[in-house]
Amino acid sequence: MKEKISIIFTIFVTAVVLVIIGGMTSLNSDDQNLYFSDVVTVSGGKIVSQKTEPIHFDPVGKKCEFEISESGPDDILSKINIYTGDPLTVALSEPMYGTTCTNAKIDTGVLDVCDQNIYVEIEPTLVSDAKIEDGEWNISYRFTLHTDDVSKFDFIMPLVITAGLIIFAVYISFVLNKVNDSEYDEMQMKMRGKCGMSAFMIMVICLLGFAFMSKGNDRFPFTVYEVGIITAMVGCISFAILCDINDAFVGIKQKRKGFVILFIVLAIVSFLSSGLISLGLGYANDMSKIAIVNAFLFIIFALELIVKSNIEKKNKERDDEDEES
Amino acid sequence: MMRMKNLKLKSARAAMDLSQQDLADKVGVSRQTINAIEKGDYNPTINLCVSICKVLGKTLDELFWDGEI
Repeated sequence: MKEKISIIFTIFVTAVVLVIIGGMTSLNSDDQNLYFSDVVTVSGGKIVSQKTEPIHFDPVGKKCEFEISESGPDDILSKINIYTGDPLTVALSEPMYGTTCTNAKIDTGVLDVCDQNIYVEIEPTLVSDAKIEDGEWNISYRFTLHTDDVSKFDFIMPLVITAGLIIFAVYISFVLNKVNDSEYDEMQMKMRGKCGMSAFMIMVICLLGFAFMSKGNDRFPFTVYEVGIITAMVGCISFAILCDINDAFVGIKQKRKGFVILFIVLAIVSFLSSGLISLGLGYANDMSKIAIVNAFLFIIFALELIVKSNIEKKNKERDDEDEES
Repeated sequence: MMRMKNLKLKSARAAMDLSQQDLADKVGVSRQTINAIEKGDYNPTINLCVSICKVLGKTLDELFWDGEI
């Protein structure tokens, strides 16, 4: 009874999370809001600071409405140019829309974007009779893009993926439960529970490490996606290693040599694809961090399998000698 | 906590000329589990104890009762 409740609970929680993620993705408004600010330095009645880098948007559809507003000192104007196309040619091409914003003025328009990227370039200038004091002035901008031209594919696809994942989750829940019941004895089940707890703790500590490192640190090199994948991989491999150490991993035990070869090959492929060898240590941002972490995890797993294999051989020989005596 | 080797189980198994693997197969567990019970690394459930007793033709007292307790 409790087993059934556990399976139902697992499926329920998984389904709820997936439905929320899929539903929110599917129903998400295509409005894109971007808030940013620029510090303008005024010295001797002139603006000292340089033009800012173009700000990138990736709108959906052919046409989209935009709305831009600015808040800052009245004496500073913002010349705003909107370009479409390749970022490399932005500086050379003619803007498709240009306007001048002042404090609290909202400007709107329609852009014929044709599924191209948008780049917004802002150049602060002073009004002709400016009486602004020298110093650094903060100007805030809000840029909103709105499009109604959303394809049905974008709407339906997240829902299809969600449905597929829920079916997969239900199948996996039943299969795992069946495998656990038929393949593992009571000691192995107990050890798998302990190993699961240890692997969970490792994942939590890993996430805490990422959280503390990213807090207010501009040099944090991982994206949210990388943090998620790395944490999951560390948890899975830790669980597998701990289970194997405690003789509670049937699949690996039966084909140990094959798994050693497989993980060594995977480690080599991960290393080569990571860019660590071709780029060198100084280019951490350009490397695939997931591939590097995977490579290390696969090597650790392969080493554990080799060590465990030798320990098992020795134990077997010792037990055989004991039995003969 | 001090580990207590289960020598009674080991000798009962040897008396029936069964290896750890043979006993494990008959009881439906892994060899490592029988090994761990004999070494005192693992305390089996009463269900497993009963299964082992049935295979070896012994009572629970004979295999798992420690007289010093």
